[in-house]
Amino acid sequence: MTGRLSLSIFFIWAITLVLPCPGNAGSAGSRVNEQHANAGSACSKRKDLVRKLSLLRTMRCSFKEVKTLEMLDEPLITRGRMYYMKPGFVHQDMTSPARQSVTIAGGKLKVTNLDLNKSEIMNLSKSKSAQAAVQSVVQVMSGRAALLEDQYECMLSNMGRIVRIILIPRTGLLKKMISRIVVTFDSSLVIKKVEIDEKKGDKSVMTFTDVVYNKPFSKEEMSKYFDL
Amino acid sequence: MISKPITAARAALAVLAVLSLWFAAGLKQDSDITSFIPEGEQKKAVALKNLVVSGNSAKTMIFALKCPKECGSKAGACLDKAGEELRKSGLFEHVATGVPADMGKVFFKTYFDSRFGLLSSQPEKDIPVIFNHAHLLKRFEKLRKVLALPSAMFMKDMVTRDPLLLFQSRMEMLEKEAGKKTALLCGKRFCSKDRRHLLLMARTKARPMDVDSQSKVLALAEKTVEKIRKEAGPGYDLEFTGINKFAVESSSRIKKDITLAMALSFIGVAALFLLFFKRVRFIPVVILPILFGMLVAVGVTQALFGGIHGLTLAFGSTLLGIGIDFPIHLLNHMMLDKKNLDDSRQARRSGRAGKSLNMSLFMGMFTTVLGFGAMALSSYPGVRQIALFSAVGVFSAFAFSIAFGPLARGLFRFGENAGLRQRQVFTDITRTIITFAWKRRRIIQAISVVLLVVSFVLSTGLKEEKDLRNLQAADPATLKQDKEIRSLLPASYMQLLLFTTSRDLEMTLRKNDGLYLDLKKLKASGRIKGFASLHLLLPSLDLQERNLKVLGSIKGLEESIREAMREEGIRPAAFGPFFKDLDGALSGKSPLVKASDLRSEPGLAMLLSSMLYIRENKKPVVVTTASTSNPGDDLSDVLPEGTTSFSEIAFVNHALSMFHKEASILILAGLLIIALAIFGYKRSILSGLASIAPALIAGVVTLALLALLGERINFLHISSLLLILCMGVDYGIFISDSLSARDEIAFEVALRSVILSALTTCFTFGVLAVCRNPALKAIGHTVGPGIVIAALLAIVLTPSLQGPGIFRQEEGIRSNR
Repeated sequence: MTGRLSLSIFFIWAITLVLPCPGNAGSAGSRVNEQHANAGSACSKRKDLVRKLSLLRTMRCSFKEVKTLEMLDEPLITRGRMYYMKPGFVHQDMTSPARQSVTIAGGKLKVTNLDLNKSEIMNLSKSKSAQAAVQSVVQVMSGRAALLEDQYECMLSNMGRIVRIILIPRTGLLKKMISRIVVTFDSSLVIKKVEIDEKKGDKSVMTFTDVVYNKPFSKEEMSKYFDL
Repeated sequence: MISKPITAARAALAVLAVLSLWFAAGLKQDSDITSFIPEGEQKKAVALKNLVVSGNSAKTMIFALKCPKECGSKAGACLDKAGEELRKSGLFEHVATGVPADMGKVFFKTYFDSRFGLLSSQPEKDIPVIFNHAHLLKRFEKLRKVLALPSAMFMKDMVTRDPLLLFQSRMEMLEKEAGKKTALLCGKRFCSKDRRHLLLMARTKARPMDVDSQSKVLALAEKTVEKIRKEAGPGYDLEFTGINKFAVESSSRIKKDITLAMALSFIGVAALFLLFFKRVRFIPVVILPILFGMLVAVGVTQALFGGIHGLTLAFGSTLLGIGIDFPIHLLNHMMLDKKNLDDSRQARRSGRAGKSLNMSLFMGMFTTVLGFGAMALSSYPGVRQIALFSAVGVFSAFAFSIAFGPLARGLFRFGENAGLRQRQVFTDITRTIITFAWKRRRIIQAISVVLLVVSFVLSTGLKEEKDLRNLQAADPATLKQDKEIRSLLPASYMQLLLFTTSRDLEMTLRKNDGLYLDLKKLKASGRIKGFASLHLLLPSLDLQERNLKVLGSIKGLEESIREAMREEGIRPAAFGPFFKDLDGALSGKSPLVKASDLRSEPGLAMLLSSMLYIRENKKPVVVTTASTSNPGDDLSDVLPEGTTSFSEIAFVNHALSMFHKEASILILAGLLIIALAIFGYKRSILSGLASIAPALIAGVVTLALLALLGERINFLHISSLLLILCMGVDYGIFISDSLSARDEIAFEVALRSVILSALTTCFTFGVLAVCRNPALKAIGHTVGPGIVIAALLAIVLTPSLQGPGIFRQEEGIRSNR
């Protein structure tokens, strides 16, 4: 359960790039509700998203996450960098307040304490929930977005220069734990923000800056970020 | 007509041969080098060390699969397959490629509910500090950091029960401690630090030194390795190591060496024999006494010790060199005797020479047995075994030669001049040497004294062998492979074993709790570099109860925790489960960790198996491993009562140092006994000195040669020195006796026999010098040159010291010519 949740950060990040257009998603598309009047425009935006995804080979950005937890009086604020490379490599470096990295590569999830240079590797084949979450990330990032339709109810809102996608888990553990996920894009369909509301009241808001698409990774970077 | 005593002696020897054959048929060869460590004061440590040696750690083989880069699922699958192959063979007790998949759950189940009893190793000192306000604030600050991490989701539920992160801290310590005893973990798999190796641990059912059983294990391991290598493909490599590999390899190599040495010795001795006697039929005359000597030595040693060490057999095979002396002398005497039978005057003299020869042979045997007898006083069981084996072998070869030797007289045919021309040349050359030696006796004596002094000075530069393991017959490639594979394990450097024991498990664990604290202090002071203890995995029940007691004695504990939470911006209301658990601990409901809890979980039992030994009707033993800053430091001066240390390096240093002291005393004692026997026999200081001096000087010169060659001397060099002394004395006696006899035949027999004996001995020991086994090499390097020097000195120095005897006649012969 916790494995799936821990990966939600990647999961959501991936979803924001690949939401399917009703026309493209076939029957699944019928489950998408458009809450705002400008449906044609929203669909156009989603088509743009899917098209953009198919062209996506790499991505890098900075992030700031604000976690509001039931346990704490004040929200926790973290910062760092994220990296993606097709077909299924994802890496996150948290640099503040503590240093930790998480890497998904080759069926493994690696968590590294950057201060101690100590890693723990989870073999995803041993955890069904974690495996499902990682596979979702990889499949979505690879353009197989229709998969999400089985797990989320998707809603799209187009508010002027901002596109918002709202995801509500349909089944399983995700439904038990997460109320909704809201992903925000700017007018150029560049990801700006991901908000996750948990059932217990905890909330996470992640905002992205310095997003760069398709800048190739050097050999050193591939080794550093994805252990290649 | 054969006399009754001779017939009785022959019958007794025949019975002895049958009995020896019966015992020798059940020969058990041992290759454990620890047989060559002393008993006595360290007997207890050795016994405890043997507990570990025969225990699970020593029975565990390590397989390492090397991957082209960081190991992935393919490597994991290959190693799983290898593990399956080993498991289904039935030869292994336990095979593991990692910790069980549910190890996290096992740790949680075993330790989480008991976390309040595991707070500290010094509860009275630490717990008030852990729960003071400042410390609580630090703990909650840490909690905030943990919650900020991407991995926080893993822990969200757990922290509501454990906001002080007590379990996490304990797990970190346990992981660190467990990591010292086993391999690192990549996920749930054992791996190397660079993640380019996956490891498999396989514990055999058989003892590591059980060569027969372990040969089967190794054959299976080799087969499995080949299979997996093929399946894994290029870039992957599977290797393995284990103590069993060394035991089997050592046994196999020493057997091969002995076989080779004996075969080459036999061929060489036969060739020398043919050169001297020119007839094949004489060969059995010299071979049979040796075979008889070996057979009786094996039988008697097997009967008394229940087994024979490989090194004893190796050293014993050199009996070939000693045992051959007796038949050579007899045969030479018979040959010359035959030639002179037609001359009645010569025949009378020959008869006297024969009796004199028997006496010389007896003295030769007697002094050799005395020399080895001195070795039998050694406190080293292995050395005592060598002494017994050699003494019995030499005596048996002598007895056989004397009892059955006369039968060989029939082999000499009338009118046959076997080697007569060669004999003549030989006699002329030696007479020339002797005449020269007598004329230049002052110079020879002076040179001998100078040689003795210079050699003595040079021999002070000898270096001692500090590592007994260097006498094992391990292949350097195997050693290298072992070192490489073991370097993948974190605790491979911890060589010091600390054994803690008491009347029962709880008392033993209490002592171990104390030892843990002592070792922590020693680590802080820099005296030790690291240690791996059972303490963190299994503290005593007493310590856990003390933790709970001290925790309960803190007034207003719950409120102070709530206050610290609030101050750090943490809402106490979110931690209801934690306060419920704390209340349980304070009211004595917290469970304690017991040995049975750990032993019932396979993953934890595996960790426990190398640290806790619970044996029926014996005291439990807890083993702690440590590495000291000074490799020779065994910490014996600081260990608490009930704890014994065993450092292989310190132990061997001590053992070797003790051995060298002991060996020096034994050799001096042996030499003294031999000298007394010779002086008693000779009843003349000059003759006695003439008999002993060649051996004495040869021994010192040999030591000087070893020093010049930079050889590190071990106990086999020293034992071999005794061999040189014994055989050198024999040569001295033969030459001296022949000179005293004032008989040309006796002198010729002695001279010819000493030269042939020295050549055969030198050859047999020379062969050992080319063996791969360092122990055999040591014998060859020492005895080979030593015996030649002893023979040369006996030929030249003994006459120069003993004169006038036959030399005046020789001078007369020369001048008359």
